[in-house]
Amino acid sequence: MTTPLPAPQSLVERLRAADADALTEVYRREGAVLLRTATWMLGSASDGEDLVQDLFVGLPDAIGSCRGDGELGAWLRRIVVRMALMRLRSERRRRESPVAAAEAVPMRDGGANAIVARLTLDQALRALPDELRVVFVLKEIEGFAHAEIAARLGIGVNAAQVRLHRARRTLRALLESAS
Amino acid sequence: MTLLDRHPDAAALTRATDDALTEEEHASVSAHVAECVACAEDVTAARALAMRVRLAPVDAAPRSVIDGALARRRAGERVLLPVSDVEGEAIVADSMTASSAVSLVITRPLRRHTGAMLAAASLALATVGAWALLSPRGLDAAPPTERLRVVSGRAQAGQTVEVEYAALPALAGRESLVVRGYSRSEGAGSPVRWHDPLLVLHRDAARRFRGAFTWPSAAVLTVAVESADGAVVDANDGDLVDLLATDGAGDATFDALVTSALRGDQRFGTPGGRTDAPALRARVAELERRFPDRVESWALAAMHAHSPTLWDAWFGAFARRTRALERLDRELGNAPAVPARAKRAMLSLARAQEEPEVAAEWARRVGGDTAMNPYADRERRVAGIVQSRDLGAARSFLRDSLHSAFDYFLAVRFGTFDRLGAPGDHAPLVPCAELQGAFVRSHSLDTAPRRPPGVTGAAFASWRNLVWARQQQVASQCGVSYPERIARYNAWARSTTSPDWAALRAIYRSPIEP
Repeated sequence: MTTPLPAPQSLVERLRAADADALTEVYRREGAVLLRTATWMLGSASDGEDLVQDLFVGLPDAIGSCRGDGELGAWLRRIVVRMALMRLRSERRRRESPVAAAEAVPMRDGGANAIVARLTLDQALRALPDELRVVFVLKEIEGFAHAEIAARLGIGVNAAQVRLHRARRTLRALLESAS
Repeated sequence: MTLLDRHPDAAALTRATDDALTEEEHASVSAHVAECVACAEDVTAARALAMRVRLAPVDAAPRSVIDGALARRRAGERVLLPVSDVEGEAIVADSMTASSAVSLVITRPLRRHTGAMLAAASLALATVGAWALLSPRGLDAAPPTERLRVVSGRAQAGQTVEVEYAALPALAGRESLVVRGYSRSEGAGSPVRWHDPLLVLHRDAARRFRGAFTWPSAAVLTVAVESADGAVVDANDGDLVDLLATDGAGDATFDALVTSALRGDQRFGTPGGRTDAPALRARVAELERRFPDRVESWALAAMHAHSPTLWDAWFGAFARRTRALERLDRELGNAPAVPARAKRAMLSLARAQEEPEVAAEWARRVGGDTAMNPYADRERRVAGIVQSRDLGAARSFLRDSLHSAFDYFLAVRFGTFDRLGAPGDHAPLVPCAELQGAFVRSHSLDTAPRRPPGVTGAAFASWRNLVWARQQQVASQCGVSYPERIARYNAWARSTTSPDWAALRAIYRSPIEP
């Protein structure tokens, strides 16, 4: 008689057990997207990294409310959005004017044109006021509906749509002037 | 007027871009966009922009982020995540067992308080961070241990308490040590008191440091132990020595409700117990109704009791207040004559939320009614300090005023103190650029950042960059410029792949240009 092998633990179960390998695996799978969302929401790469690091510090204690591996990515992104909104709203973030070197974007693969395009987009997004940038990211990156954006920001749907319009126009102008 | 003259408004253009037009407007807006070159270009360009953003390459995630997170978890740090929308009901994170205590204080590993202290700490506010702000040596702290303990007496107002201190090596050779600290009564608006010294510790024959003091009439005591000359400090940055106590002289009903609410949570005092969520929500609702201006107190009580449920309930209350505040602000903002009652409601809400900017704005709208301006005294003090240029007064002001429990709470929640342990960090809370400048000039720029053990290079670089940026901002506001220093810093930042911390320290230590 052979002893049956234990069923493999799901990623969520391993996270719940605070398995460091599981955390690393989730970060490898989802980290890039989470970082992009956090960075664009907050308008700062370092703030985005801090937020995502906080997320992974708290993840094992919070994972109980995630229903399973299938929704893990979306669940993480929702939390990142909430965390970013909380920081923007509650921390009364103080505007900084970092020196150029302070937010230097490291060179990565993708070719010079992609990097330039990306830098420009990053810079343009950072130049947007918080209230416009957040609406834009929630819509274009996270795919929220207008009503959802309004609910999350505690504003009217019409106001959300107006902000989105202003964000798009401002971004276009910034990108055109950069090019 | 033709169809082309009637451009859709911004919201309608957004709906057109996102294919979200209502049935009623679909025909007219679509027809206009089809005919109007400007609007068509607007919609097309917006869609192209969306496509460009969605197709933007995603950078690989740097390893340092997860390495830092794992290191922080290994050190015992915990962060509560907003796992549900704040407007929702209280959350019970069912993965949180009693054995995995969660602390929002993410700057230090979890510690166990002595039984007597924990029992006394049913309602605890803390003003952690004071030393991170005031001590330029915060980053030099050694790993935290249990160092200061009560050996006799009760932590109650008026009681004599004897404490024993196990000194850091850097302090162990001294004959005596000074304990300084803050206390604060629970409740919004209660003043922070500065005890300097709180007591003096003397080394006995067994090389232990002992001392006694009278427990102040306050709910909180945050202390730092330091050498008499202040050169060595055992304080914040993972090394805070704090004592928490309630004096029993507070509002019995409030205390009882908070304690009751906390005990309704599985994580307070009943290991393995279950949360009676409906009862807890009922108590929270009663707290909110009966003590509307004490949000900070029970939020922090929840934090210190490691109660995610109560914390989340508090955050829900906070969100509701915020919405009420914004709604009232919108309704009243443009009203030509705002009734006095409405003004008081605005101020009350703003104060309950500890929203000084909002309250100050409403105080301004109220005009000369200084009785309604909760910040009048603070503003007068700032004006006096600016006029006198008295740095001592400035430091005193900072000690007194920068410890809003709510600011503290948010700062700890989001790790600001952890990464920005420099005086300039809190400077924006001080409504005076000159004061900020005085403080930064006298402290921040003399502070040589040193990467503490266990902090990743990326995290430290982030801290360094933000501190530098803040100094620049403050300097700019103060009309101070130091281009040579900036040039040196930029050269350092650009050229270094393996950071030369000694070189950076040298830059920070270099004299400020006139």
